[in-house]
Amino acid sequence: MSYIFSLKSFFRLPDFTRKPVFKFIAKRIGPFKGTVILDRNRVYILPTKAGLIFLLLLLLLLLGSVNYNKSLGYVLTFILVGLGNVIMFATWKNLAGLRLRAGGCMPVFSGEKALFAVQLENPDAQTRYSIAVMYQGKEFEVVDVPAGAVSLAHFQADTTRRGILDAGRFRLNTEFPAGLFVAWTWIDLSMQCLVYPKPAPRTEMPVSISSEEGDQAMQGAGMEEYAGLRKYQSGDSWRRIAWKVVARTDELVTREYSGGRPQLQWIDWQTLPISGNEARLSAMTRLLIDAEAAGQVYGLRLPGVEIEPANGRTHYARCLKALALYGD
Amino acid sequence: MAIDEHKFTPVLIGIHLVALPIYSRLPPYVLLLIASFTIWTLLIITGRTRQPVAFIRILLAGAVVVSLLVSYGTILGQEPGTSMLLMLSFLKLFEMKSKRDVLLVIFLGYFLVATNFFHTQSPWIAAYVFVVVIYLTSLLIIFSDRLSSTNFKTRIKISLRMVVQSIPLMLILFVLFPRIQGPLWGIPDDAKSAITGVGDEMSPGSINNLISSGAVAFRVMFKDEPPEQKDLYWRGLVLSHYDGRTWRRDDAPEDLRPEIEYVTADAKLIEYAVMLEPHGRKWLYSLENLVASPYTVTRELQAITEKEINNLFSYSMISNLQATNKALNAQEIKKNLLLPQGLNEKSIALAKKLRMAAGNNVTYTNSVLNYFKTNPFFYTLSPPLLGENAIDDFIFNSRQGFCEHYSGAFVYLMRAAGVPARVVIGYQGGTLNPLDDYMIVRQSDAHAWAEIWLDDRGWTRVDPTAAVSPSRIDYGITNAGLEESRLPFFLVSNSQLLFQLRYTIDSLNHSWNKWVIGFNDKKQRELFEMLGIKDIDKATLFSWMVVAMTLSGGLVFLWVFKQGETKSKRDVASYYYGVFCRKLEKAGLIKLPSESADEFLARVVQIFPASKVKASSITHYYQCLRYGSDDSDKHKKRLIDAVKRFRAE
Repeated sequence: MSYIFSLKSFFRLPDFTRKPVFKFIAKRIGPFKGTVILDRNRVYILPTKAGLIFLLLLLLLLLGSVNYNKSLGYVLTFILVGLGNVIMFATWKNLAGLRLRAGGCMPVFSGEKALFAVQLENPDAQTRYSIAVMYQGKEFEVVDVPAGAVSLAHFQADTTRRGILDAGRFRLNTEFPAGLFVAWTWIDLSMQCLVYPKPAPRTEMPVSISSEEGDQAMQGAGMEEYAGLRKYQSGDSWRRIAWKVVARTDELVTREYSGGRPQLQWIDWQTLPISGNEARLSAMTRLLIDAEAAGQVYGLRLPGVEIEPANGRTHYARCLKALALYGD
Repeated sequence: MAIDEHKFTPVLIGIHLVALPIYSRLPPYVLLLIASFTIWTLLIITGRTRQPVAFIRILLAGAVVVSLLVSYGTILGQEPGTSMLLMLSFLKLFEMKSKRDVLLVIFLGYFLVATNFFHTQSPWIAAYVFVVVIYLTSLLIIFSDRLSSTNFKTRIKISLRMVVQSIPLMLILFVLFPRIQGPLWGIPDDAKSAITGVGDEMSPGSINNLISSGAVAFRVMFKDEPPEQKDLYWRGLVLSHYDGRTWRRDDAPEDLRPEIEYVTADAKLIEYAVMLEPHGRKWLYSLENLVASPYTVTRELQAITEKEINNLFSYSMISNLQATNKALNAQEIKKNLLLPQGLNEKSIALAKKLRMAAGNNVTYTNSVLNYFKTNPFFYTLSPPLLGENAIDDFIFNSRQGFCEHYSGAFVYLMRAAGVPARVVIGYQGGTLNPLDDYMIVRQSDAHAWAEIWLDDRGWTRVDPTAAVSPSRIDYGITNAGLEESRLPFFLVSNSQLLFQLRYTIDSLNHSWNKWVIGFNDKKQRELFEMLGIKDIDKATLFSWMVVAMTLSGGLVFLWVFKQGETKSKRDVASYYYGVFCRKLEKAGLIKLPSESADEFLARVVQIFPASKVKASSITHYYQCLRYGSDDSDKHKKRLIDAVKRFRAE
């Protein structure tokens, strides 16, 4: 059958004898920066179980046609052989030529799931249907990519420790248009996710700190009075967004407070009575979260790093990033 | 993976489409089961009931087997097998849980639709199967479209495109696939059940049932001028044995060594090629006095094949109409004089009386024919039933009959007077297709006549029907002097237009038979001989097939691969702008999907200042074509030109 011959050329096995395996993998899977075009070398294809049953059907039909000597039996058998062949190409084509780019990834706290996005761009005039994203053996999302459009597909990764998480390779899978063949590709788009330290549970926080600094924080919060709404500005705390208003008006609005003098707090590596670096970082993360939630002005001191007191989203992210990358 | 029940509906329609041509052949119990399965499935789809539990499904499978046993007496064989598979696909709907279950039903559909070819291989059924294949393939699309984002029209479009793209490979395989003759295993006995034609015996009613059938028995192409209508006796089978009711072939093993003697050796030979429709028997039809045949010829000049003819079968023969078969031995004399004991005494007496008066066998033959002519015998398609002494009853009482009555009675009278005689069944006549150069012989041309032994002439054909209705022989069945209402519609001569249409359609059928249905190893060899390649063997064919498949595979691949990039008129702008972007991409500058053409231009100019003019004009033309009202060809040409000449510098 022609497609078995063709299969060999599509399904390129690594040539262990001539090239080191890692070189082979690196050439095809990545990691890559920027746009990756899925070309011939990167899309693999094999028949599915249903495809093998289809092959069996073809054999039965051929045997029947030979035995009963029915010309139209031959015609039907051969048109189905041709169809299998075309379906193989079409399945392969459903992936090949796709252009991939890394999408963004929001930082997460360790222990949460990191959500990676991949941009799939279809440069052709035909929709590509039912492309599944798989990561670490699990399927996460199925997307269509309309002609000339870009679709986003997501997959999640577990996070266990702070720092930079490399997504590594993921897999795109498609069986469209017939389910007889499965075409897939492995690709590493150098996608990374910033993982913050896992915040320590409030119950594990040292009493002295939670009472002393906590009182202050509460005072700070208590002294503020609600002063009204204004348009959201970049840097405003997400906690202060008036979500109910947003839901009504579709516009981002921030609650403004006045009267209270924002309390100043230093979150300081040195002053924490906790042993162990990671535990210390976790505790600091907790303090940071609480301070931001309370709308305080806070600064961060790490050995070798000092971030001046401020507040708002950008500041918060900067502080968390410093904690996440501490020691790297 | 569970599947939505609303996706069952297209599958249900698919099974019915597959089964539509089969329905007319299915027994009532099976139809009843199918109807109830359909209603049940509809109830499931509309959410009124749920898929039955395993126990019920086993009961239903039992019901299927019982209904088959009641209807056919067996579950083996081709007809019960087809019904079984059909009902199983309906049953499968009840337990469809995963995608694989559905795919199995669809594959079963591809298989079932092929069983139609057991009954007919007409162009109509081919067209129908083509449509069904497109529909079934669109079902495959439903179940691989995970987001259900395609609609019916899109699916049919994709499916049609894929089926059309598979035609080149099909053609290559059809022409080059080495044909293997003969069955690989035994063909079930009922594989020929639907076949009509002249049977291997002649009893009252066996031929006049055929007269009302317009089906084509065979088509003939003559090398030269066709013989006259009155000489067109297509011999099928010689019947020598009579039991008082039925004429049969002799049971004795056939002596297959022909000892044919011809009175005139150098008479005009008639060469002809016959395309015989499947008739499920082992004999071929030929004109009288076969001179050459590629198949075994018996002493009685019957051409015999080894296997039953269950497919269109073509063969060439040569006959000599002026010659006579002079083969006769003692055993044959005995065989052809035998009469059943104690029957038809009056006829025997008549024969003896006429023979006495005649003096010799030739005169006697004429006086018997004269007896039919002068007495009030009628040629009719609806003769009355005959009693135990069928010949007496016919000759002296009813005197109404058809060729089988006349030939039977004639042979009986001959034998009774000691003249060796036998019945021959086959076809008489044929119509030339005026639009194409061949003759059509229909089932309605079925005929029976007699052959008698005359010492000086050998076996001589005598057609007693001609004595009663001479025009039947001279002009064919349509002119036999029958009342028109008794003849089937197609035999009644009608308007010129219908006449034209009928022959055009038959021409089509003939070509279809010649090039598609009749394409076998012989035709395959002929085709290559026409191309100048002699004696091609199967191994060579096979290797050619592989090469051609690989080549066409590559071409189809390009076709599939390029189809997404077709530049429709509307998209010329986007297409060439895309080429422009790709050129820049190679130079290291990638247009972000979020970027507008103008924003991208700004970046291009920044990085490649030398390309500023060209990049700006490309962006301008693109925007004009894409967003402006000006869709002129001039702009398109400029854009294409600029893009082609563009280089990132």
